[in-house]
Amino acid sequence: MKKEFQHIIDQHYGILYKIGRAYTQDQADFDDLYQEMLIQLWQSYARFKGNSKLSTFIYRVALNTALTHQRKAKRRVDRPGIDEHFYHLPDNSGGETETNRQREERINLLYQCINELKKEDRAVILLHLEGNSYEEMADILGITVNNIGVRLLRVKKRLQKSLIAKGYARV
Amino acid sequence: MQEFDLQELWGQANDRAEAWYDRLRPDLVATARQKNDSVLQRIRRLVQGELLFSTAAFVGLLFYWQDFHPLFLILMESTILLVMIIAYRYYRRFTSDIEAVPAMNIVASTEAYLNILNTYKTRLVRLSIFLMPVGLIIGFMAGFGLGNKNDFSAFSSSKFWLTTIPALIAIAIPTYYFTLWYYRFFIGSKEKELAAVLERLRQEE
Repeated sequence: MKKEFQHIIDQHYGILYKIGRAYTQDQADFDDLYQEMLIQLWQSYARFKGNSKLSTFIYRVALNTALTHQRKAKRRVDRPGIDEHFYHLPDNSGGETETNRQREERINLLYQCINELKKEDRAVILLHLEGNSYEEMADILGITVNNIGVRLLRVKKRLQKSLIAKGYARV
Repeated sequence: MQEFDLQELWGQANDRAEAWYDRLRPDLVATARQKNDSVLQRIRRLVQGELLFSTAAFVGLLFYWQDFHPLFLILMESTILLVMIIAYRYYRRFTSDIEAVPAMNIVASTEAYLNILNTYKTRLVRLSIFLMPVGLIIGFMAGFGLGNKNDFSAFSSSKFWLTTIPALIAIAIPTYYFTLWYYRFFIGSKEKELAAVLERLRQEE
């Protein structure tokens, strides 16, 4: 079970990271949610019967955990640089280039704008950006395919407006 | 902003996910096996606690059976047994629901989640309202019984009941609010937010 679980997360860690970022606003809260999603997946995976695609199962568990996640009342003591990873890309180029910085800023801006959407809309845009089909999205969310189409159009417009207002084009 | 840009940017966000995961990977399974502190699991643990506490009280009372009038002992044990049965039935009924919720689709899961919270809250309030007067009356009886060598004649006086009933009503009000506070303290207050999410998801656009 341990190796199997490790293998599954190796294949899907990006889902957890992106959902974590879309539903939290700082590193400490992100850490809590990421851990909560892992714990929930570990427990739920034991009961996974393969009735749906594994990715559908992971999206469901992770999104359900994110939706019901409660920010801890007592925050951890702020440590210098705690949000470093949250806002900065790893520098693999041997030095920070202009392009890398711009890319960082764009990604931060994108997460910031997604974070401002309603919780259910965040799920819609996340699933779309991850390349899920309308049918898959409908299966994960539990709404009709038609509803997905209309909803997605609206959410994209809202996101576009928000990105432009925050100067996405200038970054 | 073109669709292409957004999709490409999203793909680049994977760089961070990868760097993050590299740091986390060595402790992944250990992290995943930690205690689940989700709201539903907290409810489950609270009910387990109730079961454990009532079982301990039931067994504990049996050790002192000589000190109490047999009728009084039967009354106390029956009350505790009733609480145990209610807690156990609740525990059995909701354990499978609680386990199923995370893997359901978002609409079904949110609906089931809210149902579980609502049932737990209702049950908690009802139990507190039921247990408070019963507990106090049993407490009085134990006090009278032990103090007066099982002489319960005080219970037949109207003066006793005229004092006790208003006192019970007066205590019921803070008990009710305490129960709601206890619920919010241990369970939190995401219900309104989730109910709004569910309502919006159900609306066909």
